[in-house]
Amino acid sequence: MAKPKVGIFGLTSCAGDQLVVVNLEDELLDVVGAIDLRSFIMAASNPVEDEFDVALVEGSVVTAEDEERLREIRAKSKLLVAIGTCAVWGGIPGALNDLGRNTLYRIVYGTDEDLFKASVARPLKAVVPVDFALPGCPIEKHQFLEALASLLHGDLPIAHNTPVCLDCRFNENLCLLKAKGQLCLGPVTAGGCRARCPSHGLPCEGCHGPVEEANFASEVAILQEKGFSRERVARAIRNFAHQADLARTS
Amino acid sequence: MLMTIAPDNLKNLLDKLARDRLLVAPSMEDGVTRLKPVHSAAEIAFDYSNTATSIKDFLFPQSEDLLRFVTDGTLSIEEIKPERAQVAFGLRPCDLASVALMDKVLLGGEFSDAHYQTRRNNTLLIGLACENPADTCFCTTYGYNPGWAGAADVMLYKDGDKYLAEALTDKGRELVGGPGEGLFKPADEAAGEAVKKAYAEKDVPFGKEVDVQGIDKILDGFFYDQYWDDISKKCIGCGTCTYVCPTCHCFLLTDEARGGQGLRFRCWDSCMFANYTKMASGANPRPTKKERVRQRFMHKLNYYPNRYGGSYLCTGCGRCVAMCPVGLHIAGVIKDVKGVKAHA
Amino acid sequence: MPESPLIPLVGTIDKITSETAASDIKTFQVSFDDPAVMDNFNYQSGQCAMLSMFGVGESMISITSTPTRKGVIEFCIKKTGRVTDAIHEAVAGQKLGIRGPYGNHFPLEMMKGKNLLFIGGGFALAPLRSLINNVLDNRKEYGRIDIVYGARSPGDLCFKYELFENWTKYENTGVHVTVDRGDDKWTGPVGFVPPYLESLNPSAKDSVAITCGPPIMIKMVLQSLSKLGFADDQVVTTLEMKMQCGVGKCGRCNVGGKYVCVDGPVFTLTQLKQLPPEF
Repeated sequence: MAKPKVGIFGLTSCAGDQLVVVNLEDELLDVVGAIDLRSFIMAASNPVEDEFDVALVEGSVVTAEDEERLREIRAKSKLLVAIGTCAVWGGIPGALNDLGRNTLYRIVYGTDEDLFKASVARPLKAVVPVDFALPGCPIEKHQFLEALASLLHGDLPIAHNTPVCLDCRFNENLCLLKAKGQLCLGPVTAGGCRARCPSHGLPCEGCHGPVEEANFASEVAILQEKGFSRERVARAIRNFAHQADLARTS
Repeated sequence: MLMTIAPDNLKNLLDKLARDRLLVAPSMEDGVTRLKPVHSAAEIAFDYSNTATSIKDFLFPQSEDLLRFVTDGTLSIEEIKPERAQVAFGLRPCDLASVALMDKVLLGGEFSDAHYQTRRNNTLLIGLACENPADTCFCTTYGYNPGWAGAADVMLYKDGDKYLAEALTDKGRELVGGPGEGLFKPADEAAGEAVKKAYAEKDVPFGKEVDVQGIDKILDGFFYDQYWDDISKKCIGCGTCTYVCPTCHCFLLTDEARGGQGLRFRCWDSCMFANYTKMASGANPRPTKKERVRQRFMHKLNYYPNRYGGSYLCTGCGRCVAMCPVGLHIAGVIKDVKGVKAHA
Repeated sequence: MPESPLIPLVGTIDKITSETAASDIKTFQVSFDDPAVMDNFNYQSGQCAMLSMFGVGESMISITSTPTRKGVIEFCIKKTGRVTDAIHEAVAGQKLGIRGPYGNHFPLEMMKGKNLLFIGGGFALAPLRSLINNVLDNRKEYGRIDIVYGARSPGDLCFKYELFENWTKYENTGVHVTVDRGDDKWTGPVGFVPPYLESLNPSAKDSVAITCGPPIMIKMVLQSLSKLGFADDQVVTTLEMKMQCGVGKCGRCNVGGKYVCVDGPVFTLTQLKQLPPEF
């Protein structure tokens, strides 16, 4: 079987997810050996962009160029994989979507003018169909490798559908939410990160976005019991995924 | 025959055992007492109610290799068996009781789980009766008590400045006569029995609140009750309850392969996860949290006793009571189902 | 022999037959590499086995061959997920892992001397085929036999040789095949299995109905059988659940207090009604 043609791209992004791929170190040679990497501007010049079996796209859709580029990549690719929480959920650029671009311009630049001809930050799926989503801020190296291994095997990867709490359990961490009353979003956040932050005593910020069937109602209730206001909790929940909002709770 | 052992002699014995076996004992780490491998008795904590994790980790580990395979060219399969001899010290009655419940599932029936059997054979269980049951403990609900020896090979009871000891199995007697030679002294039978009785009758306040009598029969007619819709709204699907529970044993089998060879292993799974019963066709008999929450409690309190007769699949260790972030635990469910509203 | 019941034995795929026009359903004839194991592999109709594609996983598949014909072990597999996809990519001569047989079996003793009504839909003819051939190999022990079967289209019909050339040759045996929609060559009945069954109006007297099919079809067939006067203990069916260990340990395939892998997959309607509706 011929090596799959792969392209790795970034829209409006910090390029952190692409950097994870470049920083694969031990596995980089294996990965590069298993695929036909045709376009990855961060690593090599002279990209070839005729067609792709798999396109990995980082970043959210903010400018008109982003949208055009994304549509172009989608048209040329059999599979489109969104990498990073910006691509999957909108990410931090989307945290204040509710304020609107004009208000944000005024706050940052002192003018209402649409300086960049931009929209509010949108995830890829708001613009084109996406075949698989790998969230993370940035993505976890081992999750990327597992997803790539699945794709190379001809299977669509399995999305991680358990919350960060399970990762904490594996590390036998003290529960920061229950025992320390901290604002930890672990119960509603997609895990797979091996509870990187709580394992170092930092409550989970939700940087992988919401887990499947996230029970926001319960999470908000627990946090309110611990003394956090509804507004504070809402802001925390919307930091990385502006759509994961309280409208889901009832 | 009852014996006594001085604390120093006990520590000597444990050090001796640690030399050629894996010694697993309660040990403090980051403010939490866990059951974990230790290198010497000096690392053992003696001041604890119960360990955060249970003996399950060492008889039925989180992940366990089953076989190696080579698919390059032809197919060859090689079974992997656990070999390590282990000693687990400081096990509380609730955990000792849980071992018997696990035995029924994993060793009983038409098939016997060889890996679990091997670990059971290779593991010496030393129990330690409870001096201070926690306020989340309710072993007495199920007829156990702070002095219950369960599956222990040797059971110890702290008695003032020494331990009362009883070898209950051949393995236990081998320990006392072998590595333990010279370290145990015969006890006054009457005094020893009195110590055992005092432990068996020790007060477990939470246990008095939770009455499980006849709940399996009540649950026979409870499948369609609105209660499950209501109670499952709280559940966040984190799987913590199944993780810390000494009698939860659901597992999955999975392969890891690279370049024509690899490994099949099993690891813990949880009925609380969305994909647990999802079939390749996409059909899922338990599509929402309600079905899964109901499954968990029905399994513990109705399906298990119906299938294996008599016991419930719970020993009142209280870990789920302590660890569930939303307070949705079995003691509460028992109280609710029996009509006393416990959940706020 | 391995000690753990979770360890498969090495087998070979001897022959592959495509059943459907789309080749999404294939019958695999397999054998154990160890002749002693092959000789001692005794199973009954209704039982299943775990097939391993190492590196991908395992799948519990019902045995479609009949135990009355020794030396032939067949599985009929539909391409559905990772493991079945991998099996479909296999070629004759390729190795696989096999462990089994698992589960209970169709109640032949209860069926002896009775009229038998087999009702199958689509791919679910596979477990029934084992039982039908089993019964036909001992034809005299049973009464009238009617086989009612339907699939989405003529291209989706499985085991066409048996349906149209083999089973029709037996005495006092009727084969009734319908499709949801025909094609330009199809001259037989068109329509869903449940109404087709009712139109045939089989008698419930001294009869046993055995049915396998997709959940929707089963639900409607059970209603039809009830209308036709079949009592609960005259109706037998099979359940499907996601399985991992296959030996009653991993807890996954339970329906109430029963494990489908050891207490099933065969259940009478009486037994089914005592189980919680979680299947």
